[in-house]
Amino acid sequence: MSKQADPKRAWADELAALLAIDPVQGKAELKRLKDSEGSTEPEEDRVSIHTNKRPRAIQIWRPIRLGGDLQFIRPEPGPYSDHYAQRLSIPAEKPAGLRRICLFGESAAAGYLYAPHLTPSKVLQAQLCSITGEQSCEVLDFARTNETLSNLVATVEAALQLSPDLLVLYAGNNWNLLETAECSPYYPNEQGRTDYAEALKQGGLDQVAEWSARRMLSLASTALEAIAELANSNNLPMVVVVPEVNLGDWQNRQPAPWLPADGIARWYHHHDLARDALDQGQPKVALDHAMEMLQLDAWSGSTAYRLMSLARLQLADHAGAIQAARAEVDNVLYSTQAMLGSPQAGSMVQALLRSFATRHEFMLADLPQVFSDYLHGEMPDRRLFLDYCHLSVEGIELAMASVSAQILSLSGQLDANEGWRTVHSRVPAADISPQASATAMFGAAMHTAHRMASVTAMDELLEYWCNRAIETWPGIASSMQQVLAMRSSDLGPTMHAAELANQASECPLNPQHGWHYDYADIDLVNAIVNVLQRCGIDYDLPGESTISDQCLDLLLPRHQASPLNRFFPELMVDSAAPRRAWQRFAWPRCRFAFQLPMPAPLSLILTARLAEGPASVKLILNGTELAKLELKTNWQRHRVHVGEDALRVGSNVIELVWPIPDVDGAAWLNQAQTLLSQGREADVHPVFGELARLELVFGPADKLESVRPEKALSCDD
Amino acid sequence: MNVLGVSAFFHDSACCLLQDGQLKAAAAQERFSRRKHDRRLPVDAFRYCLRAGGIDISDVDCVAYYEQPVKKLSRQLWAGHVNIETPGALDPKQPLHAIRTGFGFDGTIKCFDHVLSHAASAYLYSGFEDSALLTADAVGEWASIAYGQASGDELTIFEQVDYPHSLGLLYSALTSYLGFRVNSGEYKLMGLAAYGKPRYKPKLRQLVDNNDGPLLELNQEYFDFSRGARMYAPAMQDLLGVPPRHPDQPPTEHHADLASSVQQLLEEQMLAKSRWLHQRTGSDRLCFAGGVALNCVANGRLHREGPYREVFVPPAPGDDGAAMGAAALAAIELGERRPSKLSHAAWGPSWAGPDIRAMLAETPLEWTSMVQDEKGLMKAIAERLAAGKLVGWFAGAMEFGPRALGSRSILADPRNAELRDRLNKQIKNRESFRPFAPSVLAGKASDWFELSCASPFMLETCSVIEPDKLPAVTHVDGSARPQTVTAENQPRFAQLLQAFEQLTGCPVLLNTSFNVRGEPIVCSPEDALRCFVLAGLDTLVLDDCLIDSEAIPAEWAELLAHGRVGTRWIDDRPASQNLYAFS
Repeated sequence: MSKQADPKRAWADELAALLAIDPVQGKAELKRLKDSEGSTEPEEDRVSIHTNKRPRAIQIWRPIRLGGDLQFIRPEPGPYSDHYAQRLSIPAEKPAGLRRICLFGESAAAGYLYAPHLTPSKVLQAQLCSITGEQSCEVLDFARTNETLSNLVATVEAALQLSPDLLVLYAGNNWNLLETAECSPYYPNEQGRTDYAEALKQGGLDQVAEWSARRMLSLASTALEAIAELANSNNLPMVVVVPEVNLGDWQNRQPAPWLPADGIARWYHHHDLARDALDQGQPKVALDHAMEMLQLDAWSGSTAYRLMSLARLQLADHAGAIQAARAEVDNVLYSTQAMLGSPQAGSMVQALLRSFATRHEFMLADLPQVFSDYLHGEMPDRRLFLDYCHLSVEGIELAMASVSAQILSLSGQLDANEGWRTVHSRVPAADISPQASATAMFGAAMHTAHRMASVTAMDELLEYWCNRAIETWPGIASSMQQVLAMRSSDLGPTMHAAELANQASECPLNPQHGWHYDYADIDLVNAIVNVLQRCGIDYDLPGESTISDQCLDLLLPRHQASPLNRFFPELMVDSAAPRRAWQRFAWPRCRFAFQLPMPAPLSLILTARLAEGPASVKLILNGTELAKLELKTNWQRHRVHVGEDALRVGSNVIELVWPIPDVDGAAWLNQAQTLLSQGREADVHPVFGELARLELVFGPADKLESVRPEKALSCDD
Repeated sequence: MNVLGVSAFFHDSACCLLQDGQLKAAAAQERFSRRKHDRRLPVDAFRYCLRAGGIDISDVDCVAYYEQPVKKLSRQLWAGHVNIETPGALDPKQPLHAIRTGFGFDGTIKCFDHVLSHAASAYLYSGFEDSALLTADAVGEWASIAYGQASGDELTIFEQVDYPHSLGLLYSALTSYLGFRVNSGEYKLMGLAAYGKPRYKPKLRQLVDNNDGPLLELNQEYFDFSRGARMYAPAMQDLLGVPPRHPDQPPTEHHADLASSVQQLLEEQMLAKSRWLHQRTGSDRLCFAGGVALNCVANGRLHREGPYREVFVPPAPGDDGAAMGAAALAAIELGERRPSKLSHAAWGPSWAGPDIRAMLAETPLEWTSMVQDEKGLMKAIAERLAAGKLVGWFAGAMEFGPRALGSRSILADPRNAELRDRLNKQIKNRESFRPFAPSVLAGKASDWFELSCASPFMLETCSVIEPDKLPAVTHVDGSARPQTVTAENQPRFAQLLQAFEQLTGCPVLLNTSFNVRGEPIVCSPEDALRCFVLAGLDTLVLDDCLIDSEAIPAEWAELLAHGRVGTRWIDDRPASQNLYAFS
């Protein structure tokens, strides 16, 4: 046997070599060959309305015949619960005389942080029954956390098997970058990246924002029209809820994109000055600096709007503050698509839902309007929300009163627009235990500490929620102590002894409350300690449980002291997404925390690099500057010795202040556009620093050169 | 000098570190990510290697990659296996971009031919001064089988069989025909083969166009390698006259016979090719690697019936181990000396006793620390084993390669056949026809097995001298796949075997990997604890600590069954379930 020459192999070899040298020409050659072969691509699957009459699942409720009756039955929720309502079985046949209402939507509609104890569905049912009579209606809860547009349509369609009389749709907070991931410069889709590059080329980041917003709205419109078709073809009335978001207490800080000339340096300069001015009660000065930032980022960023909103609040300009806060939310959603904002409905989504309801003559529960009326024009805040979009008990009662009023207006019992006041005043308060209420409040603190990238310090808000929780139910203090223990442990949360204690408590915390978050969330730890101290409640000081090889790797999630970095690539779960063994920082400051049972001398090893250098990174330990370390564009390692008197019992925080790159951002943005046009990943904003190693090495004092912080030395290894 | 070896983007991605030419660390990404056969860039294994070497990225002199991306793309283009929508799919520099981006590495990246990386993973760690080289796997760039020769630090490949002709693909195609998963179910085919008769062999010979030389051709009428997991064409069923087995269908006699036939065909092919290689090189030593070298039955025949006096198969002959080969090739090119002979496989992470005890102190478990009472600990474990208990054994550094070799093992009394069945059914939830392997004190191996030489990596089969005495580790055909254990290389494991022998007179233990079905072998103490609870093992040994299942609170077991794996929440969940994604 001898090898035969294979002409196709020679072609493949040549093409592979060409792709290595000149990707553009190589791809053109491949395209030419494919075109000449003719298209053999299969036809794209089309989304179609289900016409099969066989019973089929509604989300996780599966159809089962029991004694001839069709029931939809879901599995028992495990100890950590799940994203779905907990009703185990739903009969397909509607009981005689009972009005059946199906509620669809996302976590806000599912009563996130209160579920299963209290949900909007339960409140809606209680409100309606208290007015129209016991057993007059049932509200079936198909709202679920992490709901997506495509699943929403499928759920509505499947729920028609239950012969509902009315539908309630409460969605829109999730219509963000995760629905249109391909609009991100990081998403691993070649077409998406080249489209991004094209938008950037045509009109800069403004065009990117418009392109991604258009895409999002198109997807949402398509889904809404499909739902409308389902409702109309079944003659079903529908209440469309326009979501409102927490404008007052939730902040969405995002970094500036690359800006021309020295824009980056100026933007962060104004940012710092605006913050200082707010701290010093000088709102007009803060406003001026926020305006400077907005002119620099061409009104595209979120951060300056938040600063502006805070300044206007200090000036008692509530309308102006609301307007700026809403602009913050809008810009988070559709600006560079490099960051993931918190789930919040922006004004475009709100407008879309309003026009959708009007066009199809559906009823409208307009929460922004109702909340504004209720609060007499003040900013919606912690009174109605626990976090970014999840409602407090008061918020749920109010929102469902608005829905109830719409439903009752169908039979002429109430005025559609003002009826919510009647419902809200007539029906008894929602039935929720102090335990469940306190658990949700503590969950609000955990969420906030972990997820809110704020412009201002958040300790007041965190302590507010911790205090409210303890006031509502003092037993929540045990959960707080358990969080302290878990946040300083290497052990996964399910295995920790604190988890068993939690599960045995009257109202266990579960993942929705942030019980299982990985990060140190040091602001939460500090808030808990402060509140417990003030309440005179004992707690164990957290201490590192394991110090492997006498060394702590501060790059591990549980040492991350800043809130979750919502830098999009790190949150992507697609297996094709790029993975890094090192960390990048898109904000000029980052913090790491560790717990010490007692101070001990240590060495800190840092290996880092900059996009532009040389320049110095400032190292701050527990608020005191420890060293300035020179970094370059290649990895540099530094070792800094720390004396025990610089350390504290309990929480210690290391902060890195990265240098602001002194570059023309326009050139960097052009470079990003080139990379994206080639289908490569690119940053459209500065990455201030990159860390490959941040370790603490402990040892006996005589082995580590101990120096006082002000005398700390740094040296290249 | 620090050289990192990397294999990635196909299956079983891995990373290793050579310091001054000597192996310092090696680990597969799947152990950290808990995704079996993880193909992604091995960032966690990379971080482990740096830490094991006491270095960081600024100290790395070179990254060695286990294949040539341009050649590989050529083969993929030829075969039409390129998804042009995937970013980088048409960019042969993509693996190098990924290394630069993922590791943050700015220095030299050296790429080596896939088969050369495999050959080097065997030869350069074999301790041989010269050797014939043989590699066989599914496919790398183009080559699926390669023949070569090595002397000193130099390796030469002089002949190869190219895709789509491949014994590895032939075996995988029949693996999928028999209803098992490609790239992991090959072991099952091998286990099933012992139950059958090779009556399909004449038909199977039609699949391979062959001669006495090095080359072979697969008859492409019967194959379709463009169909992903299913690799056979409809003509295969016409030829065999027996339909493909559905994964849920219990294997029948036909399936066992087919498995036996495929296995024998492979063995014959490997023997024939190795004889040709022997004639060509004249060497009486063979270094063998590639995925096919995981076929321990074929390895056993190569050893017994082949023309070589010595055969070396490394503990990770698959793609994970190719990272080691590439690293050694790069280190030699950079002027380093060749790595020392590989005498053990424990190159993965280890945990210090105090850390393990601190971890246990945070759990709700009751446990016994036997630190500084090694003898007492070994006696206690041996007593439990002799009493028929299944023991999870976590000791020292994790193994590199697919075999549990006494660092992350489930151990049992090999004299008790019921334990084999309990292991198969309750613990591993796997097919009853799959055998378990024994570990034996090296000095006693010849009393129990017809083994002519040491087998530290458990990569060949041999006959059991008295099968009735070791029913739990003896396969239906009277064979076993023993691991020989020495006090020099595995002192703790050897101590345990000695303790068991003192108690029972048997220096053998059943040794299977410490995992449950569908999960990689455990890596960390936390993984081990979780696996211990979920699998329903009787005892767990974590370094010096002993935990009996009676100490597990029932509610805790339920929590573990529903909870996340370690701290790996974000990575392992689809977007729709991601805690951080939506709301």
